[in-house]
Amino acid sequence: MVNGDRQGAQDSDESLVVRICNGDHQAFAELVQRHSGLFFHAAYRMCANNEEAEDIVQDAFLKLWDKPDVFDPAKGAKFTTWFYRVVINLAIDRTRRRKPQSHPDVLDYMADKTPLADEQYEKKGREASLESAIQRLPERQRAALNLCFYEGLSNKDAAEILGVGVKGLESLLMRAKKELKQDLKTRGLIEEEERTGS
Amino acid sequence: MFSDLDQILKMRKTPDVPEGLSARIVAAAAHRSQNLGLDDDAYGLAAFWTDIQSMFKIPAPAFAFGVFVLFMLGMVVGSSADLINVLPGITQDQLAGFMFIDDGFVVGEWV
Repeated sequence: MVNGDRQGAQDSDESLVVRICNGDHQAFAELVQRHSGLFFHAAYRMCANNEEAEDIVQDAFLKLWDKPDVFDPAKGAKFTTWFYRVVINLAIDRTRRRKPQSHPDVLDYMADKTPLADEQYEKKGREASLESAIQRLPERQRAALNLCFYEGLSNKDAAEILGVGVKGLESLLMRAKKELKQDLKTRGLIEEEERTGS
Repeated sequence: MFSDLDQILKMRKTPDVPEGLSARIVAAAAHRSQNLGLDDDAYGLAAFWTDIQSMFKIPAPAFAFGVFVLFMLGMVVGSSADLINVLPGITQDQLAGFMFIDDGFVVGEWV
């Protein structure tokens, strides 16, 4: 899932960063091209807003351009792992700063006036409810869920990104799933356990 | 309705990457200069002050509630206290001496 390995003969992410330290715009463009999609999705999953996610990714890459030597491959961290941390922290900062409100994209999504078949409408409603429920999770639980479930990172990498131990990450994940399950049950999206058991 | 959380988590929608995102980022960086070698963690006065502020940062409702509680506490203590209670062991005479205001002094003596 993490893209550093799949370039074959291409430069590794880490060697691109070394070139960026020498002011190489082409290396920067290559790194951006390679990873902007991945990190856009990561940012979107944290804030559920297209424009914010775009700003977050742009800010993160511009910070990298400004001070590429902040990333030190000698410490043994993969570029993507380190950059996930940058993006997640920026996303958390942004969501803290904004006023408490419903997530605009979720509302836009529901307010879409395109005529839909009942089944499609119901599906959209379920997707919007799921997104709202995930966005209501505490930020670290949301980040843990996103990194492990949606970004497909290993528990070890996700723990490193969040600055916790693997046990701590597992605890965050467990609490996230528990809260999410409870929330979705109250919205009628998940069956009560007694009913599934029967 | 779903019976499994993982099943419903899989239906989460992710939007397409906005067109031209990479190009916009590269263009934004094109005219920026780099700040190599500047230690981002340099602990200047501004960084120290920011840290102090963030340490004491509390949500506005909690702050308002805290101020209200302190205010009420002050009102209760203030309304039930007098100097005799505040300075235990003080006698009425000592208090009278303490409270005595000598209005006979000459300003010239103090200048």
